[in-house]
Amino acid sequence: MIVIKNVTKDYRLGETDIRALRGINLQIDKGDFSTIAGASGSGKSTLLNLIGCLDRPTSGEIWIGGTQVNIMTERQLDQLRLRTIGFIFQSFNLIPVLNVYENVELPLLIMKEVSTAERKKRVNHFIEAVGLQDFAQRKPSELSGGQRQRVAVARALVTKPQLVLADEPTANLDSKTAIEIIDLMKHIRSSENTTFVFSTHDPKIMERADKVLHIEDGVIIGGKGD
Amino acid sequence: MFRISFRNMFQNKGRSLMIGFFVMFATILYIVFSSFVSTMRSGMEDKIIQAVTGNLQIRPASATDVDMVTLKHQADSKSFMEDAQSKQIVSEIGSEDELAVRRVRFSTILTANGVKYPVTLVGLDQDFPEYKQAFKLTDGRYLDGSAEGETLLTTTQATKLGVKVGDSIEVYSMKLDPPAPDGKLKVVGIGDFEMLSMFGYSAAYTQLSSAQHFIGFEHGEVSEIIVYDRANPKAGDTSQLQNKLHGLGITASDVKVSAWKDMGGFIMGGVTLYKALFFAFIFILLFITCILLMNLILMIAMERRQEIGTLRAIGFSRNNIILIFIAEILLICLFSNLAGFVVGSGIVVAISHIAIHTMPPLAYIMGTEFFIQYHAIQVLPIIGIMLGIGLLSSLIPSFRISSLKPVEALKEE
Repeated sequence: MIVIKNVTKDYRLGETDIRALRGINLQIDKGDFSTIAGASGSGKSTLLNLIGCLDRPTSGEIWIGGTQVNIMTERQLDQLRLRTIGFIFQSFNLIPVLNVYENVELPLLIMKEVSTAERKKRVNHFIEAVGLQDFAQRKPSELSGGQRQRVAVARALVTKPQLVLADEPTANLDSKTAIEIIDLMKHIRSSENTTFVFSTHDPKIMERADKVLHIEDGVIIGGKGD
Repeated sequence: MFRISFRNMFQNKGRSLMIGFFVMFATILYIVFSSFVSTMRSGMEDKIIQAVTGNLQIRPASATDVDMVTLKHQADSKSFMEDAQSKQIVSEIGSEDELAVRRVRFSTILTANGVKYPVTLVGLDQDFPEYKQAFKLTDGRYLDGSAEGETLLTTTQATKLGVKVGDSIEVYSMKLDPPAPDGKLKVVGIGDFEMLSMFGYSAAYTQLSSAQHFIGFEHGEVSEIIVYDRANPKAGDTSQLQNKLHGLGITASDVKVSAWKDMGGFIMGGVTLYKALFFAFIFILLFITCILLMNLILMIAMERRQEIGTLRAIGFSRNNIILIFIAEILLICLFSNLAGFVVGSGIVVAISHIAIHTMPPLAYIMGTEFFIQYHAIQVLPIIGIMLGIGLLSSLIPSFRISSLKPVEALKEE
């Protein structure tokens, strides 16, 4: 599903060049429930951003579903993010002016091939899958952190992507809710056959992943489950 | 997709109200100023028509094409319409709504107390009210239509010549070579051409027969026929009159027909100048509004970085983002513009019933008393203009914010 070859990423911070990733090589297979684990500043978010096509690598190749994505145009990347990748963010990143239903529906509104009836069906299905059917008309501000992240999960899945990326999805949640969210993601992975990659520095969360990739100073230093 | 635009507009009330305030304020200013300038322009045009040009002019084919207000115009005894022909035209084209009057007009010199003063002497052939609407007396009376040998002077002319009502002035006659004083006119009234005096328009009215005497038209000839359209005071279409004249067997080889817009000379230029000043003011006002809006919108865009980053991450294209953003701004502009339109129009309509008295220098351009006029059609373009300003102001911020890489937009500050 994901193949990364010799990827590096440099940032310029003032006058200093910072190498955030130093030659990453990894492979994640379809249906994997993987985590990228590492301390803050280790490069895990940078790596997720590159896999999610939110940023471009300085060098190296990134392949998703057999397509080399690091050479694609902006327009192609928009389509790739819309149809192939779902995102879950640490801060939930819901649109505050839209209610739960509308937030989940949002990506489908720009998928012209999805009919109104199909859109409604899918939105209701995923809202139910994350257990928020009674909260569909609520605004994000009226929900708890765990509920907000459930909305984000539903929004990430509603386009039926092959890959869902979650950048520290549990960082803003208490440990009980965090485990609930991870278990929910794992359950949906099984039912929807979607590949999940998420980052974390929480050992309790790492335990629940099938595959753990440890990253330190921009280098993969080992893993569990390969 | 535009649901986000609509909801954001209501969600961020403070920002929306601030943008709305600028748009509304600019709209109100536009409507008030536009009505003010339009009233001034319309008033000036009325006065030019009433005092000088009428709506249409019928002149001898040999008359020069110089306008009717410049002193350089030298009507002479070679350019005239015969008495019989002019009377025939006047009686044939005159109607309930159209007043045709014969006129003699030429440049000459008035002299009194050893002072010479150049004027355009205008001979009026009957006691008609139009000239009285433009020439406001400060002393004396208007011309007696059945008498002769009288004149009306402007306050400037009277001051320069050192005369008052009841005094006599000498007039240079064009029939003498070189022209020299050849008779007197009695000053019966002193006043000013409303809204025209500031342009230096220097005419002196007298009776037609007196003017004929000084130019040397001994057989009732006239310089021109002036036509006033009382049903449509701003009428200026020459074709209908030309057809009428053609029906009387009078063709372009006999007379030329012109309209007030072409004969108002530098006074019309003054009107155009005021219009230009108004548009310059409006341009500056709109430019400032545009800059203010642009800054506000840029601030909003920066506040929404995360939201925009999220939308980009879930697959919204740059164009989608631009559309959402512009739609929000245009919605705010539309609502506040409509509110401004209603408020601005309400203000103008409310004060349009009140006579506004002015003092110099405003009196020079607006008259001593005026009623502001409101024409919805005239101020309607402001809706399109403000939407255009909204669009223009939101283009740069929305392009800038949508150009951010998704990863940059998603960065938490």
